[in-house]
Amino acid sequence: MTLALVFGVSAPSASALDCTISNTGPDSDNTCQSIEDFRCTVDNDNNVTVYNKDGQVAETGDAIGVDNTNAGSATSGDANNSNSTVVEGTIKNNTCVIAAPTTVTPPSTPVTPVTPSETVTPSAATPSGGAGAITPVAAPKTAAPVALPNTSGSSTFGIVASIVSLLGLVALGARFAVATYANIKA
Amino acid sequence: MKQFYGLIGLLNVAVGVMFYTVNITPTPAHASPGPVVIARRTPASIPATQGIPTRVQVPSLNIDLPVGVGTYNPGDASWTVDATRAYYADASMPINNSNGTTLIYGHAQSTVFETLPQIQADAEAIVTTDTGFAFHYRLSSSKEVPPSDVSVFTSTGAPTLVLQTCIGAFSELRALYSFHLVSIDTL
Repeated sequence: MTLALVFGVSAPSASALDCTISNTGPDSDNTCQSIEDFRCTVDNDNNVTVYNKDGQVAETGDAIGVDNTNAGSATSGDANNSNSTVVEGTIKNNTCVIAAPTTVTPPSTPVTPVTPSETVTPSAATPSGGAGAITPVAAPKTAAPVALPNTSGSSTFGIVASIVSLLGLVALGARFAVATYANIKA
Repeated sequence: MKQFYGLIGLLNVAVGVMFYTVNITPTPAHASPGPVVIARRTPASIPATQGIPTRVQVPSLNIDLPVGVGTYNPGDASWTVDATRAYYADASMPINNSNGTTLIYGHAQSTVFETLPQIQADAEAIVTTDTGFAFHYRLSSSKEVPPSDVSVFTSTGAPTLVLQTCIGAFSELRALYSFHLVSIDTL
């Protein structure tokens, strides 16, 4: 009996990320960050059972001499079986496939390329902020305020408070007037 | 032959005196300017994103107002203000992502900023500019100051939005709500 088993299993592929920064100037702050977080969980449960039962039976016949003086040299023939089994199978397991790397463009930082041998005369004003710094916004040239805006408006609470205060003042004034009049009359 | 050696000796003495003279020559107190200094060019900076406010929104308070430009009148120390809109104090910094404080003020009236004192922590404010940007802010802090506290006009540092309205029984105080910049959208 011949038994042959052939199985194939493929392997996952991998790729790499990279990025290139070019044409940058001195003091430039260029960052190229490539983060590859690849997780792949493959659960391949292969359960292959090959059961080959050979039920052949080979028997030789009896050597019997009938109506003969003797059986002489009679013999039974040979008994043999021939069996051949070929089992071929293919198991294709799931694999992890890594997508093609995506080109990540670094944040745009306008940088003026500088020729190494270029001579620049230092100016009186010292640049500040460094590479990629946002140009400071100049303060408006207006008269310097001495007070914040008056946003009292005529809010409901303010109106009520004003009326209550006014009524209170009127009541106090009336009471004072009555008292004064009583004193004078007395 | 003696004259030859004598000449050689005189030459040696002359050379020795010359080197000695060179070595003991004092360095001038003020040396002449040296060679031209090659300075590195500072890379160009990124222009700030900025603009004049045209609209202010505080979604949690259902505030959505047009914003005018409020100017200061030194004569009577007053500001442009009315009950139809909020105002950007033009003495403060324009809305930007670089530095300084932008002041937007409005009356404590139902049509403007009356509900501003009800603002909750971490509330969002959105300011649209005339340059086509929407600046998103988050509330950082609040305080009440007297009208004479004008430090908001000179403050520096991170870009900040301040919304102002009056507060107090007689509106004698100014409530200032400071927001920090979170993001900028292009409209």
